[in-house]
Amino acid sequence: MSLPAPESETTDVTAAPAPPHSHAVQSFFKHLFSINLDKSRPRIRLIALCFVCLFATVNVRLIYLGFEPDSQSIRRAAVEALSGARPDILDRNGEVLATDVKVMSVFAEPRRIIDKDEATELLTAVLPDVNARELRERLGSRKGFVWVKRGITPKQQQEVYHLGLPGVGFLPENKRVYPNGPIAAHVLGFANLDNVGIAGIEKYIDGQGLADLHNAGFNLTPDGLKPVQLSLDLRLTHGLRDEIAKGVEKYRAKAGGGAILDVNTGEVVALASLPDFDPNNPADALDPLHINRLAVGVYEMGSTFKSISIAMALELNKVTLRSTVDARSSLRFGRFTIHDFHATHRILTVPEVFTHSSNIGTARMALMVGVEGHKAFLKRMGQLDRLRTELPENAEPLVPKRWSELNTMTIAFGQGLNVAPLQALMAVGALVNGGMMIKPTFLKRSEEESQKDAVRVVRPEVSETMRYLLRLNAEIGSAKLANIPGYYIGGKTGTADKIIHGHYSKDKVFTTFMAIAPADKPKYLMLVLFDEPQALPQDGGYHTAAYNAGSVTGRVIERLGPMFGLPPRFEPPVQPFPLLAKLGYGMANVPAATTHGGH
Amino acid sequence: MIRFLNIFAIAALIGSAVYAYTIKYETIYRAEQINKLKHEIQAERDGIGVLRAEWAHLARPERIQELATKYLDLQPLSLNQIVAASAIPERSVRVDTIGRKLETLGLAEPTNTPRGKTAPSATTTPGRVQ
Repeated sequence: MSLPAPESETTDVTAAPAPPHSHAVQSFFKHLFSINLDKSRPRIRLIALCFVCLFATVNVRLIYLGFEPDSQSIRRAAVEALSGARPDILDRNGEVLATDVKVMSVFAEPRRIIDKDEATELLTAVLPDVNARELRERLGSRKGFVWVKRGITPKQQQEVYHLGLPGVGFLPENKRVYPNGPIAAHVLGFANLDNVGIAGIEKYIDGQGLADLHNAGFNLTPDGLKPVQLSLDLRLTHGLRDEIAKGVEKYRAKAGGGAILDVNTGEVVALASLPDFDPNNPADALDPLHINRLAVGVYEMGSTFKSISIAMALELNKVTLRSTVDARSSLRFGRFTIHDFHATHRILTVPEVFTHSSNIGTARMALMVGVEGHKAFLKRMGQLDRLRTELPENAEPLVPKRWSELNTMTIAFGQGLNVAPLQALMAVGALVNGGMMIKPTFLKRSEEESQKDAVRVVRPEVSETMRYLLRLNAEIGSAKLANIPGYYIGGKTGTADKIIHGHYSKDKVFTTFMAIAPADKPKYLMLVLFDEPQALPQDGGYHTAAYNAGSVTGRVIERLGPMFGLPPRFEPPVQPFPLLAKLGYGMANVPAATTHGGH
Repeated sequence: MIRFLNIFAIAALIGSAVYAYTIKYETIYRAEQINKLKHEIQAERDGIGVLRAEWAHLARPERIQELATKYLDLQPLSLNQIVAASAIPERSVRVDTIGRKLETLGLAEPTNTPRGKTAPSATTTPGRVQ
């Protein structure tokens, strides 16, 4: 309307007779869409100015946001500080050994707290176990996010909430719990407050890539993680631990331990070491008394090592079951003399050397093999190298630096070489399972899997001979206390005098007992050990292994036997040792070897 | 004509705007619902986790052993309580005691019915062996 001139020009002759109203509307639209550069320049400027203002506002806002610590970044800091989820740990039957639970933790944003002294006072009043001075320091720091207390109870959460402090909030966190307490604690290890594995299988899990995932910023949820299934059986472990605890108390031993190994798969189905700790309270675990005596402690295994020495002599064809060894007098070597604990003063057959646990006989057999052969065999049996299982805690065996004939003689009967009991268990397992060395594992696996990296260390005949000797020892030798009927047990005792101030002590001993069940086709190998057990009057004042470790093993078999899944047998098997029978050796009940022993 | 088109265009504009906003708010509502459910699921999962841990804690062998010694008269399984399947005696022969009683009473004998025909099953023994 304000521009009448172009209107009259552009209006057609045909449009002239149209009513004035419609004419006006039409001309309005025409002007609206007409392009006249002269006239639109100021409009374009105006629009440009508008956009400049708009973008300037956006930029200012962006800069402002960049400087201001927004809640988003604090959230991120919190996620980083949050403890990550860990997979559940189950036993071989699926029972829970370790799991995550959600707990609430109190955090503070120091920048948003107005009166820090008041906040400290109020918070410590509600959470009495928080150190006031430390908390004040933390609140005074320039950090955007600090923890006040991790893992509070719902009641405490309510109380803190009612304080109504600005800048104090809650975050749900994963907390590791071990519902079974000290059972299998040495295998499980523990995780710290940040849910990082510190020891045992927990550390192993972190080593398998979980820690990397956490560090890469993945917020893992427990349901996304596959549970880790251990080879341990919760019930067997409890039974073993309970019996060993009773034994430690009864014999007033300094420490005790035990393990059950599946000799065909190398799985450790039970492990206990006392004194132990509760992984829910990790501070306990640092006590050096609480080490895993099966894997971290190294000991002179005593007579249980004789199994290895005799197997060596048999494997290298130095002796057969019918061979005889002179044990008439003590064995002198330089200024050392080797005695027998149960001296027989006669010539012994190989089975008699084993059942009488003759030091002299075993030393002589080792001498037949020689120093180099002995070393090579022990190396093959894994006794000279550190045994590495899934557990990060392990120990290097104490091998003599100079290995003379004397060393060979003493090591043959279990003195002078300190190994981890688990290591000795592995070797004896290989001797009885048919001759295959299988590395012990704490993870569940099948027999096929375990056979993959199994190495043959002795011939099947030697393995069968060892089973025969162990069975013989259970019937007529020192393992009688563990010979529980029905399970066809074989066993060997071991008593090692402890070295106190560089000398072998007479009254401080380390006793071990190894048992196989059943002896004709072993499935389980048990080890029970006691550190410094005391003699009991009813045992005739003896503190040798048969009376403590042996009798406890008997108790363990009696109690756990029904849980082993091995059918009890009432009559001894008809042909337990077929290969030996072919060679003319009878059943262990009537030891054929002893009949021609005394010549 | 143009006027009609304009009105139509405006109506379509308003309509599409209303439709778009409806969809938008619906989406927001649904997304909120999804989030809420996700939170609920997570809360339930956490709850299950806590309960599982609690169950494992309550059913730990140490505690069960304590309770069992306190409240149960059970003893550890001993060897003489286990027998082989072959040692179980054979099932005894089932005796039809009622039938035998009837027999001794002479009631099992065929009765002479007025039909006069003797039943062929007269010699059936009631004491059957199964």
